[in-house]
Amino acid sequence: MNFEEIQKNWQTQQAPAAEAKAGGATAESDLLVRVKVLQRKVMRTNLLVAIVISLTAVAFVFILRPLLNPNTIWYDVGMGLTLGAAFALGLLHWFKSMPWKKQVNLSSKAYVEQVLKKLHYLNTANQRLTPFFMVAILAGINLIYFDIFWNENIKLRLVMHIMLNAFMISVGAISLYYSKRHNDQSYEPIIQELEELQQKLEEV
Amino acid sequence: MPDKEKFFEQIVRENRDKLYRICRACLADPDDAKDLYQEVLVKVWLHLHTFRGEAKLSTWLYRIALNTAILYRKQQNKHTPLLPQHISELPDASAETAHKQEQEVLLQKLHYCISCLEKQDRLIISLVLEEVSYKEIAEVLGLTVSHVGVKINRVKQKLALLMEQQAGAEIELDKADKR
Repeated sequence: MNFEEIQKNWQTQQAPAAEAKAGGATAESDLLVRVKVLQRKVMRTNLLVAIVISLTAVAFVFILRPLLNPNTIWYDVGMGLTLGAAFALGLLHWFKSMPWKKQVNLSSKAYVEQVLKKLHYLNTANQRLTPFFMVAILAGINLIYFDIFWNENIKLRLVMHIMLNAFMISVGAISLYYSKRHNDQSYEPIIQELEELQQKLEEV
Repeated sequence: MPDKEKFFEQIVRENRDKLYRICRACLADPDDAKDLYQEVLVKVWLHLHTFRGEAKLSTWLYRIALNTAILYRKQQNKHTPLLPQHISELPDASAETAHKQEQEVLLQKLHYCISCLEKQDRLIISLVLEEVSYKEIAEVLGLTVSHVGVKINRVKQKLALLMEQQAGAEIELDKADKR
């Protein structure tokens, strides 16, 4: 058999399940692009949050503290708790998004698995740890208030604490509601599609 | 975005078989080849914006396919040539015509022989089998045309030798069976 015949024979081979694969690839590629957009969004948010937390910490420690001249140690404890919780929250998000910075060159299957793992982690952390850190921040601010109104009468102090807690709980609830809504809109569909894709890739 | 999708769909429609065959030549295992093919399509989609028409579309596609194949093999870190006994595993005779069967046997032999070649030779032969010009192969591989010409001749010879050996082994097997 000559080479031309071999060539002809070779060229009779076709891509498997051509339509499904080609269509699937479009959807998969689109999904991967969306995942990348989401990754970039998470990184941008993390960067913004890190800057805001750092500036707040600087303002609290170097500007507010000398101005307020705290009466007790509770101001510093509250400050430590608030900033510690805020930093921990920020750090948690950075750790989660860190591996995303790498360009993953694994097979599509491994890439999907890795992204799914990260998204699940982010999702669980959002749902469980954010409220916990919010409570820690609230406790810290209460301690700061406790010190700031140290010399005021008990009635005013009580009113200030009730107002602070009512405000913080409302803001917290609203922020959790919108965070969940954002999560349902941004993460859930991608997680679902990735899970479907993972299943499909396992079947191939 | 719709333009990108349309362009991508057109590329896939026109080149999917070629790309799949290149993947098939690069990886001995058909399942790995399918996986690689999927990955090549994803890479084409993700890097579509980088295609500026400076090179031929086919050259750009072959480059993506070959680079993905090289990376894929590095990650897999293994290359297992097909076993000769796989060649005898034929589909059900009643379902296929005699001609198709013959073609299938030849393809399996060819896959086996290609899987015995060196990795760069497999990449070269996959392009030669696609009737890609020497000039384009040289562009894809980053070699000179004359160098590619020499390499192609060597690879063709190696492949022919492997095919002959394969045929010889089959004759021996037939004789042994008759005995």
